[in-house]
Amino acid sequence: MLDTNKKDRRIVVDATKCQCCWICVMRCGLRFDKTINPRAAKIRVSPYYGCWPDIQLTEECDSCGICVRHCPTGALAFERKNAA
Amino acid sequence: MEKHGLFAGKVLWVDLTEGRLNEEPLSYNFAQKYIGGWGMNARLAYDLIPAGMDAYDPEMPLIFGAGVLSGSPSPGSPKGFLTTKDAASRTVYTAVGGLLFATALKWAGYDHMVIKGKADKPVYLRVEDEDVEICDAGEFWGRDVRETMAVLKKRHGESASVTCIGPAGENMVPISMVFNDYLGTFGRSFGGNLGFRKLKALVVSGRKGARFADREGFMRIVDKLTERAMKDPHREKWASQGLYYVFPLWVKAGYFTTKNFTEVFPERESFDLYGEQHFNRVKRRVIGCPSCIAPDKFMWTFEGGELGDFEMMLGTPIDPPMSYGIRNEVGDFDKACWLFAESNRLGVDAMTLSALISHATDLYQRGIITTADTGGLEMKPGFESVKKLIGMTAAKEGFGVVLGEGFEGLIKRFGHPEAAYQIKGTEPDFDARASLGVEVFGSVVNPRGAHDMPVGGLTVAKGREPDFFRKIVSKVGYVPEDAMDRVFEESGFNVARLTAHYENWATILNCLGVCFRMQNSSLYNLEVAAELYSAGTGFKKEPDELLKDAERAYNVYKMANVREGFDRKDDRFPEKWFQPLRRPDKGEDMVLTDYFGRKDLTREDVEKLLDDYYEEKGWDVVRGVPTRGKLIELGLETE
Repeated sequence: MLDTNKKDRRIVVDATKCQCCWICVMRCGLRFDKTINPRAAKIRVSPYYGCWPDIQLTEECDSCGICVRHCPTGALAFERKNAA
Repeated sequence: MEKHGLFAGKVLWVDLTEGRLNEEPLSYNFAQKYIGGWGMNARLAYDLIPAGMDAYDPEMPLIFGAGVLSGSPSPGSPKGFLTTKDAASRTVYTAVGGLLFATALKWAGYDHMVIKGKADKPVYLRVEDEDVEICDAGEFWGRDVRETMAVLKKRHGESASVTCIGPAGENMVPISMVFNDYLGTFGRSFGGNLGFRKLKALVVSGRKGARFADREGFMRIVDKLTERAMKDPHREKWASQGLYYVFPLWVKAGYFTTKNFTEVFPERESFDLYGEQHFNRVKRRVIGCPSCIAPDKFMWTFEGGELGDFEMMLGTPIDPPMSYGIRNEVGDFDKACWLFAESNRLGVDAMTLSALISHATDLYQRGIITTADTGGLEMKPGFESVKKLIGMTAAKEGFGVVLGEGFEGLIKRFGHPEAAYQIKGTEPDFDARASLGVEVFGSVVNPRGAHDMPVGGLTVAKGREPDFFRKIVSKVGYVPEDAMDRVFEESGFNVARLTAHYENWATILNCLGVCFRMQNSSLYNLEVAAELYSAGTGFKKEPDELLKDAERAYNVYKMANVREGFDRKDDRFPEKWFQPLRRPDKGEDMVLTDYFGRKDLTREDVEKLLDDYYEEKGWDVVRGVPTRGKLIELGLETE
């Protein structure tokens, strides 16, 4: 079940915890397309091996949190929008 | 054509001589008889590689493939495959590699890719969904693995999978490797197979994704597996230490051997020179493969040491200490890692090269070879000597030419096969004198040479109680009911008969693309595999059907090597396993015994075990190959 009450929160990224499993990309794509579809996903993870990966949430991301819930390493988390 | 879920549905054919690209539909009905992935690669190899063809023949295919589950979020299922003939050992085998390759290939819309021919100038193959092109690689020919990766990733995007060779592969050194995405390999050879045809690299990226036959059914199982993986009490350790987690276990078991595999490295020195403290000092980042819940690959940085600053990326962090560190006694952790990084940079197989150097040093110290054979080089342990040999091997210069040919080349020139720690040209990772389990026995009978099949560490170290094995294997489900009493004796298990069935389970994991590391492979059992396969592909398979398909795939793999002349004479225990493994710091010798250490094993006992293995496989016990009856039973021959 997807999270609701998204107005007051956003997803924050800690790239230093990301291990590039692409589970967030796969889960997000599944929500929109019912298939594994990286094009449909609203999150992009570019596994830059030189230092930390580049993680981008697109403007279409509605902070549903499916990526947060399935991230095995805690690289993605919620933050209240009015948080300092 | 009806789509079948996780099968992408296409095979890409590339002819480098003609510059021709062609795609054909995957025959689903055919592929599912071999499960797909590794199994289909084996069948393609059987069909496309005529017996006796030279590894460096333009018609020799490079067969790439993706696991059936690869590209999906099923935990730890990222594996891809490269099957061709090994120039060093002449076996036809499949190298299994991780990181982005299989996911990218599947997401680009291909299950397999077959490359033949030879380009007239250096090229790389670019696959971006349907957009496929043979590109000029003149500017990176001669560059090392890291530089090539960096340039191609910059050009085609960091999410593109880059598979490439280094100078050793370009020079067609038989023990050179193919590298994936900095951290992975299609090991342990095959670099020369790309270099010969002037194929420097493959760049694969896919954005099309993958689909399921029954999405809800598939994801229901994936959710359960994911939950189990997240609750695994060992997950944090695997994800923070990788295979260093088992370093203490392997040290105590006696797997870190030196002096050409005749002596266990002292325990205290092992911990002092190579222990966890060094690993923790240099660890900067953990990296995983797509779909992995417990990633265990690492970026290490070394700063301020006598070797200068350097970094390395490695999927198996235990390897530098085990290879150059202990086999070649190069000094300490940093030195072993520097040499390992140098081998990776140049594209040489560090594991096999360290074993070859150990062997050649032994021959030199016993006066069997002299400086006349080594081109004036004194063969001795130590950093400088090994550094020189790595460079010479990659460049195919002087004594490096001989080392680069592998064990077969060394034995052909200098004799003394009894001193060579190898099976079909490859040194085993595990030592029977430390623990005669399925890992060791599997490496003896593996058609490709001394590689352990995906094992999950069941019998790596002694110490488990006899009743453990029947229980755990029953849970996984790969030994049929009617074989249980043959495999599991009152005293424990028959290692040969257990291996015979274990190979079918390992084949299933391979076909699905599931990683063999314990944190991943232990999530699956036969029933789950059949359910995932059915929901993922739409080919409904019961567990016993999947097991039969695995047997078919394994027999085809075996037959591709039987045609090359391999049989029972090649499934040999290295002579050293019949000699004691000295352990001076413990004041004891380790000798060949059964797993439980109850009975010393003689050569006759080993022959009896081989009889048991072939019998359990339903093969010809005298020749050690599949019988015509077995091939008919599996539908591989007609009556």
